[in-house]
Amino acid sequence: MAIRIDPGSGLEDRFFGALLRLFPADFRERFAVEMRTLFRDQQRDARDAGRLAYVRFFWDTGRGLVATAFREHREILFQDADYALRLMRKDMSFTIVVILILGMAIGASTAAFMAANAILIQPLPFSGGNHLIHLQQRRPAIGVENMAFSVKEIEDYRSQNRTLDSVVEFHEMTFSLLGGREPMRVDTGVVSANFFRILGVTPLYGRTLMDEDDRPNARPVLILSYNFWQKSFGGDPNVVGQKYSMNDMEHIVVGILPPIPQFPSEVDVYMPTVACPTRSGDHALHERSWHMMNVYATLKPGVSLAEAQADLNQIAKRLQAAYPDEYPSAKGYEIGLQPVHEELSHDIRPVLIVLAAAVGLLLLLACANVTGIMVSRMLARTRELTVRTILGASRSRILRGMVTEGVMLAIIGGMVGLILAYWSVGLLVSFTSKFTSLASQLTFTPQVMAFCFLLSVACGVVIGMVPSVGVRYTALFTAEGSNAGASNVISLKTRGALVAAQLALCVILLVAAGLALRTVLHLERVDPGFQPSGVLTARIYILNGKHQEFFKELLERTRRLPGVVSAGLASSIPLHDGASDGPVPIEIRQAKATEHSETKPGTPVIRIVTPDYFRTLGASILGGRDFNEQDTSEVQPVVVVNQHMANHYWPGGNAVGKQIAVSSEKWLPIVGVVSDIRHLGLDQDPIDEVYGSLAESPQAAMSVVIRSSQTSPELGEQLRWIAHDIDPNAVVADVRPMMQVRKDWLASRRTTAMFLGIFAVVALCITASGISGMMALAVGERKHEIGVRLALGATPGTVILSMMKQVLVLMTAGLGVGFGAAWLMSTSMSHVIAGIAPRDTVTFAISSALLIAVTTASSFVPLTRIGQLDPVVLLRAE
Amino acid sequence: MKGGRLGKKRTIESYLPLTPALFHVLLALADGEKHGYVISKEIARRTNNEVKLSTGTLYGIIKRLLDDAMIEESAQRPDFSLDDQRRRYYRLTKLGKAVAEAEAERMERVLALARSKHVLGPQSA
Repeated sequence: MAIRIDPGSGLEDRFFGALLRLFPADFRERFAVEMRTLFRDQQRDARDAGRLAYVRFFWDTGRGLVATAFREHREILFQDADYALRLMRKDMSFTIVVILILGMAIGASTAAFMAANAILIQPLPFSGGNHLIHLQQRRPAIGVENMAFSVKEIEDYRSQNRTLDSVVEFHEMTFSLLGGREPMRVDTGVVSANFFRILGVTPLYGRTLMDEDDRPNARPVLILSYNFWQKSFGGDPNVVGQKYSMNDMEHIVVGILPPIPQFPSEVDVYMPTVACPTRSGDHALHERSWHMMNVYATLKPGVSLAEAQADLNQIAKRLQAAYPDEYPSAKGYEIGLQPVHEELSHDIRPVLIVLAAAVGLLLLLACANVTGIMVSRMLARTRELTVRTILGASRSRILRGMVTEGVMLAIIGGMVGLILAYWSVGLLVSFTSKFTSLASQLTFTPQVMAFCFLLSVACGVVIGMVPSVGVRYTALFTAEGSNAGASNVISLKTRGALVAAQLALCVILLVAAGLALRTVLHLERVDPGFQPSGVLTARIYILNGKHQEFFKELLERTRRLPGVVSAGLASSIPLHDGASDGPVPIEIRQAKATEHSETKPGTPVIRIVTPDYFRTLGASILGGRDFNEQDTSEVQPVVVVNQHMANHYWPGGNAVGKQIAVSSEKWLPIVGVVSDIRHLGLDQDPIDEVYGSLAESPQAAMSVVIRSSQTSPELGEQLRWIAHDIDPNAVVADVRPMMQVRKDWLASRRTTAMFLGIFAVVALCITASGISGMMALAVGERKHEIGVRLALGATPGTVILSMMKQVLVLMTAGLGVGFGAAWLMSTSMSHVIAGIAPRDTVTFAISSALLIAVTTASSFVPLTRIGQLDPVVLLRAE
Repeated sequence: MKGGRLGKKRTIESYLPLTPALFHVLLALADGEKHGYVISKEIARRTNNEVKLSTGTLYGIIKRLLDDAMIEESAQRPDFSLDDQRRRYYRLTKLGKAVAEAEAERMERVLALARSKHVLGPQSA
């Protein structure tokens, strides 16, 4: 008869009881009563010995209990680990399969965490970066969300605000850097003197900008970015102090930045605002409408974003009142504030969330699969577990041993996963860099290792604990002499539920991968509005001011090259992020248009092109004509509009012959309508576009497009030679076939689809193995029943059919739950898909067909063994 | 029983050296069966309170000695009127006695060595 002892209600008893709970359950069962009795005896002695002895008694008792409890747990852990290792060595095929499945899932999860941690969770790598906000001028009535600032506006906001600590500006220019081995075209960040100070950036060599550098007539200085320094100067620190020529002025390199993500965009060098010829020009300094600067600021200590917003809105209202022509109320005018961290991670956030969700599902699926394997294994260990139970092992002790085994398997799997995650760093950086400059922060850190370890332990607890829920039944049934079949049925039911869960998770992954894949297929089929095949493109920058002559000669000589069909120039080419300096959002006023269209919202984008550009690119002239050599500003400036704009402003009518006014009172006739070219992206609908002629709007940087009858790798070199022959300081950059431009644009979506596809294939393989394993187990466990049925005249076919019905039940349950979840979740993928509905019927249909086929095949293969069974042999064996 | 020791026959020497606390528990049981409180009291008395075993420490040792079969629970109990059902009485097994003797001899050899090296003075009568 078990002896119980009153646990007592005093503080001392509660203290002892609480510490006693630290011991393993087995230990408590054996000694708790005695220990409490001894505690009370010793407590009485200590009380008699005086107050100090009493206090010391509690200290010694507490310390002794904690230390002994720790030792007991440690000893059990070592025993269980030793036992688990022996079991793992004994069944190496099981061990390897489990480790590989868990390794893949934990590795993928760790890699996803590594990316999410570096880009979404970790603070910006600038000491002041997390307080940095981006100021945006908005004109809500006409849909302008982020209008740049003019110098005048920056001065107003800097002087009138009460909530901002520092207001700094940034704009990007491209200049030629001379004085090195060869002329270099460098992307230049033009910044305020305190730009680096508010970011908290310490230079790697030299210094950053000082206030003196940004004063009129200061000696021009340059700061080099780390990547540019490595790429162009081989990481030579002696470049600090060297002089180079830029914009016909001598510039001295005063510092080199450390390898940090550049903000707000990747540039090669930085210069102060006074050194930029455009920024220092009269127009920029005095015209309020000269919007070209991005503005950033830090909040004063204790100021919230909402307070700053209210403060800046007051300034906006004052400006609106003071300059009604500049800020017409019809267009609306307000200030937006966006934390820079959010801005930098804005594009990749939805992609990372989708990928993280996918690896999370894969991990769940892997755990469900391994748990199924563990359940089968537990069944195989029924005899051993029963013997242990009879010998006195408690259920909690057996459960603990199984959890230890699960954790050990998961930790070894986690080590494999850690290696996979380590290998994936390069791939992840290359993938995420297409979305954010924070990609360079993605590294293998102790945090990643800690995450991997904790995830492994969590997985281990799950895969060890869930199967051991069945231990009670298994041990009980067998120990009490009941037939083992009952326990097997329970085990099979557990495995069935786990297989259904795998099917459900697999469906979700298949649908996600299907949606991403269909998006890529759709985008590859989208008509971009031009024919990229056979077209070569390059970006050309010139400095000498003779733009017209240069580009005219360049085109003439290029057209004479062998194999060249046609050539043209454009301020920007489609699908290319880096060449957007040509188009400027403007307002449009119409004449001879529909009477009520005067206040239509939206601004067309201006692009500058040459005659033959449209033909070279493969765009069609739908009405009127292309530009020709006679369209010069001396004769009559003309424009061509795209089909979208023609339909927008002249629906059902003919735009040719109409006139538009662009930021002036000068009316420009429309001479042609060109087909829509998807400049902004294959997933973006066409927008209103106005094309002007290069002859009327000289440009210093243009993209050349060349259509040739044969693809020749020498064409790029020939173009470079011609450009340098005309102007030795001309820069020819970014020489790529147009097909490559299109391919590069699709790269990030392809990679997203590839990741999701890999996850789905892995999920499908794991699920198939889970189903196959479960059916093999079912055949093995039901041999006797099958033997009886075959002996009573059933054919193998009818037996197989009856077992397939069980698979059908599981499949229906899994598919039903999975499709329901996929149906609900698919809308959250809207940022990753384009051109198809989130609940795309084709994707759902193909996913279900694929899963049904794989499920049927993987369950049918083990069932074919039934045909080979001999009922006589089976029944004799029983 | 410890899993790692399952099926292995251990020699007496493999238990040595004992920790002082564990040796004291074996010594306390050398002259007869006792329950936990008496064991702890005797150890404290014989060592002039230099060794005082707290509840956790004592039962950690008792569990280990039971698992290693150096002590066992005694079926003999005091007279019903004097007995406390909450207590269990422990006594040395043959193995426990042999291990205690081996430890005492080991310590004796150490003492002899210390004397031969004049680390300790000659043994007093």
